Amino acid sequence: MSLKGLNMDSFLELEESIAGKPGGPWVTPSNNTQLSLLAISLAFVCGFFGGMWEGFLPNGFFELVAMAESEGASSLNAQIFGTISGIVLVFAWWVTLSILIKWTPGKSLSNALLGITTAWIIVIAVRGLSHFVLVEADWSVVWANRVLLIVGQQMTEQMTQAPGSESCIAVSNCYGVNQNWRLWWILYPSFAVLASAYGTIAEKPARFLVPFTALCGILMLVAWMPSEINYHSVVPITNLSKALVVGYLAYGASYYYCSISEEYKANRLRSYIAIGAVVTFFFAIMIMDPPEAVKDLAVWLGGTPVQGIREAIIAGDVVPSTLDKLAGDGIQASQWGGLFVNLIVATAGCVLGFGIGIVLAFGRQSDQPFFSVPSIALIELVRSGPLICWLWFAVFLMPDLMDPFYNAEDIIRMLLMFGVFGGCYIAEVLRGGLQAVDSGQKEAAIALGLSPFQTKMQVELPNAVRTTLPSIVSVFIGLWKDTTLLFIINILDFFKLAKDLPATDLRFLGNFLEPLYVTALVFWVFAFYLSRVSMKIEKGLGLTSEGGGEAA
Amino acid sequence: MSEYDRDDKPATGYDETIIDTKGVKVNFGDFWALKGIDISVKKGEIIVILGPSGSGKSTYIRTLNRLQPHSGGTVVIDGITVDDDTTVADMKYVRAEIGFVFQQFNLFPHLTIMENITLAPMKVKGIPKREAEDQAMALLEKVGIPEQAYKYPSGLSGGQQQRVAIARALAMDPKIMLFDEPTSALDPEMIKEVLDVMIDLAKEDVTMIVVTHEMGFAMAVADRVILFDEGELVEQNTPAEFFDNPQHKRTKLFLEQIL
Amino acid sequence: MVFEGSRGSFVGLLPVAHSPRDYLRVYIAPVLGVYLFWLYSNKFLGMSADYLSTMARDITIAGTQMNTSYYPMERLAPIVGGVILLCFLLVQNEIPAFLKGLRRRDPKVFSECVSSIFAIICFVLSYFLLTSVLELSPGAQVPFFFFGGAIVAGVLLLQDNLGEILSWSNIRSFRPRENLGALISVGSIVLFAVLTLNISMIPAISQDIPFFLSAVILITGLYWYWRISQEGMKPAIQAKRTAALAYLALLPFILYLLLRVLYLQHDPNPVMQNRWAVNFDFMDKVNTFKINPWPMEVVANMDARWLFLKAAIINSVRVTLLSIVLCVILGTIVGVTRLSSNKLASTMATVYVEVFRNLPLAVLLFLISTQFGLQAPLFIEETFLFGGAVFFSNQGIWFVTVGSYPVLVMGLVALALLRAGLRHMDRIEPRFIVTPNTLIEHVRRPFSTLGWRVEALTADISLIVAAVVFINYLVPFVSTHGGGTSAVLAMVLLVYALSVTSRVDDDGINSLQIDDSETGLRKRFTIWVAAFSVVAGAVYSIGGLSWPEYIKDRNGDGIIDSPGAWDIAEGTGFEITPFFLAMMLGLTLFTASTVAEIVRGSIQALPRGQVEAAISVGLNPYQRLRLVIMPQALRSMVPLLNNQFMNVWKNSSLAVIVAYSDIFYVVLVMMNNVGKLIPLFLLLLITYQAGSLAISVVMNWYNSRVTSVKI
Repeated sequence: MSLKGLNMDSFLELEESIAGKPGGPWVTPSNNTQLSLLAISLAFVCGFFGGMWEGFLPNGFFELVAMAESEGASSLNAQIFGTISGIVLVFAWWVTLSILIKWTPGKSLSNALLGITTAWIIVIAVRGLSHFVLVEADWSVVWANRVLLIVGQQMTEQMTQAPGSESCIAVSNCYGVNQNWRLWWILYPSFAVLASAYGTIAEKPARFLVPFTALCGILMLVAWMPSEINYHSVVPITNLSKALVVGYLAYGASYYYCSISEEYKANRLRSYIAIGAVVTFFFAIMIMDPPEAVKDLAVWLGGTPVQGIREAIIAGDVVPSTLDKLAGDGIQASQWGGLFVNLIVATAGCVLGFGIGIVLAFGRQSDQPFFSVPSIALIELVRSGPLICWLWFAVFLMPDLMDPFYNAEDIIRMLLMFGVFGGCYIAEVLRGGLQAVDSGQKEAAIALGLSPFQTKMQVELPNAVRTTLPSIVSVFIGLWKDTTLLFIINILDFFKLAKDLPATDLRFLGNFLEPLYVTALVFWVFAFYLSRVSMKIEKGLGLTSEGGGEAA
Repeated sequence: MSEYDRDDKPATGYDETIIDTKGVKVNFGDFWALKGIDISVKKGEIIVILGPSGSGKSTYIRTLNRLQPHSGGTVVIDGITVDDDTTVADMKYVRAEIGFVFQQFNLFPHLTIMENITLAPMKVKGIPKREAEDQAMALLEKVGIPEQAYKYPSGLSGGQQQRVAIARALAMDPKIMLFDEPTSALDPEMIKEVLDVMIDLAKEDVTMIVVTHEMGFAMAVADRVILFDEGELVEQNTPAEFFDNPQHKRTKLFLEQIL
Repeated sequence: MVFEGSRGSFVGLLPVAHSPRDYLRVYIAPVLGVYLFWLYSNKFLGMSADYLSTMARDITIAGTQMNTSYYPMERLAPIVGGVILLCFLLVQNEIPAFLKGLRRRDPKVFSECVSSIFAIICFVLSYFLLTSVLELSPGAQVPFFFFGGAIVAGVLLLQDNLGEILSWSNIRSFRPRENLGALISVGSIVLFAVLTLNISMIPAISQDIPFFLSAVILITGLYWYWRISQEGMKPAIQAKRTAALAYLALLPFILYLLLRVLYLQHDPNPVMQNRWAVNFDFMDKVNTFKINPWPMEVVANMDARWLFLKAAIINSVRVTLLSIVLCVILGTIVGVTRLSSNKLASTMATVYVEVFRNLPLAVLLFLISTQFGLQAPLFIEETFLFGGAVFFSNQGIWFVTVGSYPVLVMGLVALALLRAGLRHMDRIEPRFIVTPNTLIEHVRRPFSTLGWRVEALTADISLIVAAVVFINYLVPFVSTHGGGTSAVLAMVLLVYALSVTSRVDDDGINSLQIDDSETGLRKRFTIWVAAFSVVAGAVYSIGGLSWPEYIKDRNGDGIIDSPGAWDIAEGTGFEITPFFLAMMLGLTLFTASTVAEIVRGSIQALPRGQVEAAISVGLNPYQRLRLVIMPQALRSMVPLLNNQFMNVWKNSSLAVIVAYSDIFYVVLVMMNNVGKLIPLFLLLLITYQAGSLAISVVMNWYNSRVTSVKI
């Protein structure tokens, strides 16, 4: 009875906080529980059978399922829709009936009103959303193009019309050589860096391993599903499993190392991992479009460029080795597309922005006007305009200035612009951090004989970065969300490809909303994840202050 | 950059004056924190500076390594004049010769104890890492906390942190050690361990100037006790004479208030 | 000796390496650095020299200039020389001391700024020489003169002895052997002059000027880099020499940027020249595409581009202002709800904040506009809601509105007068009256002679009058093509009235005894409710309402037109275009989530004791909020809200996604039409910066009012 009593008490507390305190004179502590149970049972009745009597109550579970099926949803979808809507409906009915039965408006009017309005708003929102997601929407437009959205046009064609894929049966309709080995080569170190970074946090292994495995599982599922597949699913699945194993090993290694070493060694590992992340970024750019020197090196080591032996590969005579693939043509930056572009540009903005931000922050607080005046001018100039303005500048005006000495492609210019833009915002953030460094630290460094430059790098900068790390992460989140602006410059990133699908994919003309919702979801997931990381960092640094103030 | 040459400089013998300050004045706007201090310190001397708060004691010792620029008078450390025109190399030399221990310890929180101590020898003197770490371990043993070498300052008590600060200052092999109220920010039970380290240090031939309120320390090891009041040097004498036979009225007033 | 004595320096002559990383750092990196610098310097100086030669070449045949890139020396010399002079003055860093000396009228200031004055004299002198006296050959002498001059400037900065050299006493006691530094400085100037004039006789230099100059920069740079690492100078001088060294190293890049921009403005390719030349004549010409402005009407192919820009600015401003107001309201509601004890409501608020904070604004806007376009009923479906008060379609929403706007304004004025009257009734004599003494103080408090009671009332009424005048002149400004000056004057008047009221407040004249008790609150509440109803009734009965009228028969001939011509009658109802709606919804929902976080954070950061004290004193929740919590929370909120409002202003540029005619959209289309990229880009930057500044000024003023009491 005690355990059940405990549950009942917390349940009553929850009910009180949502619906308000019981106000009716007929409510006594003894019949409180019975009244709640009455409310729940009535709610179930209304939730299941509502709508069966003409127009009396909002549609209940059975009605909803029937409605959904009549609109053309599959039986499974209709059942799921009915269940979700039903649950929310029962909940709302329970809140309403509790309020009515116990007459809470007598005691806490505002609470009761708040409870009722929110409950029914939830019903409308959830029902509308699930109706859209399960009944109205046809997700095949996104599903069929999932590869295109992730890697862009060129890579998809290379993959789906490459030797080994089903559409490549004769030389005439084989497009190219499968280039997506480059993506896997980027994925492995990325997973390794990510997993080892998590390994340095002394949490229970399950807290990382379970979500990580789930993520890889979902990716494998997405890759394996036979519907609308235009590639061999064996390759992605094996490579994803390899990536999963790499992640496990990296996590295990760093977790073990941190558990047996002192904290300072763990800190050193963390800085190596950060350097590793930067190296992975440059490696990613280099592997996608290797410079001539790398290609020549591969030839010298014995490889033959793949495009030269294309027919032989198609005929099945030759299986290209790694060196052959490395010696072959890369994928130029202008041909990158999809989610990959968003990720690269956002990472560039972070990496370059951090470096540029440090230089500008120090320049700004220098006492030599030759450094401070241009720094302030640049920071204020870049921050005065919206990002879209600067991206446009980078595409149309910057080439006029840069072409004589560096003829870069649009995406590279985007990388630079994002770096400069992020750098100016990070410089502002760091300015506050640098000012907040305890002057005693600086005095101690000076008293030891360190030069001003050494003081800045060894003492001020680490402290400033530590205190302002949450703000820096929020700048990163902003940069990530701003990569959606690339579509205005006609760069084929995830957003542009997705929103143009209804117009470009002839099978799905007119399905306008589904790609947009998927885009919103994908970007939201990454941003939400980063904001969670930022919150965790803030807690770790002990910067959150919980004061007081309940004002409602 | 591992050696430093001093062969163009005469060595100071035991009776050589290592700190010579004449007429040092410091002002902040209209407020004159120091109104003309004449102090001359010989190599190996232990000086204790006493005085009420706001009398300019900390300001004075901070002028010695130019943490506080002086507005008048001369400061000469080990033959080098410290003023606006001192070259960067000379200033570095002077600051390496002077070890400074702060009231608030001022350890670098993002570095381990070992890194705190080895930072300056490695970056300023160019001593290689292995050597610097051996030196640091020796110093930590000297101050009594070798087991904390790889912890972070936040994990140490106040007394331990201050001892690390002393070790960090000693790592540069200074001829002069300046202490700015080293025990004022400590809990009473930790004051003794820091004072013990300072007393051991006093037995070596390091010149020490200590601003403190610990009279016991003054009476035990000081060669000279100096009283500051309102930016002026009121009295300087041997400890015995200072505490038993104060000459000035203000000295007597001060001693009445604290003893 | 040249070097100041360095005693016991820790820097030996040759660096010692201990480990492979040290070898890399100490030997390999410098060599690599020198090689890369050589490449960079040669390349950039080469390109700069080419541009400069092309621009200096005067090919006049029969009176017409054949070289489109030509710049007369009268323009070239001041621009290039001016930039070099500016860099010199920045590095030399004597200007602040000079200004301070001027303010103190100290005659010695000139002797402290000798170098800067010398530089200015050189600049003026070279201008005269180049334009009147000398004829330098564009191929070799002109580049050598300017680049060499810049390098000599760098050398002089590094030597840092101009001040010494140019003082009388030193000139008299000049001894070459002792004063090597002075010799080098003067010698470099002389050598430079000699070489410039005779460069054609030294083919080794004139054939490849960049090579020679890069070598000079490299040698000077390396030497001074070594000198600085010896640390034999005082810290201020060392810092300055480091800046001078940076100047010398960046010189090729600075020159390249400057000359490239100059070249682009006179580029032989007319497309490029069109892009980069800065002149705004095209803005007076007629614009060729149509936009959707409100309330000002601009007609394509008839109105000038400036007017289109004005209409676009009005568009941006109104969506920004409305979004700011709405997002503050919504954000406060959500933020406060997050702190509520009702778990359901607080969870909902959290869900809202988390969802919208992490959505990209571009995607959100596109989603809203697409969703609206797909789901809103078609125009021909005649969907009237709320009994005809709202007409809802995918071409826009029409609301019922007041029939006569002036009547509405009069109603609002009546309410404002009521507030002034109520405040006046609550006034008590201030304990301490500040009377103005000087002229400025009298200007800031013009009504002080009327006595404290009347003064405050007059100040309030004057504010209302100024607001009415402002609205009166603002309306024609935003709806017609002109009216700029009167609107500005009206705004000045309004700002003045505001400053008068805040001065009256600051000087303590506004001593009010407000009854904040329960009865007092209830009394005030009833008075205001009554006032609102009276005014609303009056406005309704006098001016009437304007209901959206659906017209199927435009010309009134009794025949119903084709569905494509059906429309809502002009002047009936109040229209909101779908573009404006999408923009406003997107901006509001997106920004409100951040504002909610700010509000929540500010309230949570209050010390717990404040709320507890308020409760223990017996204040009810509304009183707690108004009297204790909000005043303190506002202090930390206002700077953060300032940032958010500036973000709203800058985010309004995303209107191009929903085809709303804001500044960026209009300028973008103009750029595509006209090709004048730089002038339009400058206009864009200036407009956004002006808007940000305006928001900052207002928020800073509000911040100073909120923080006028020091906590």
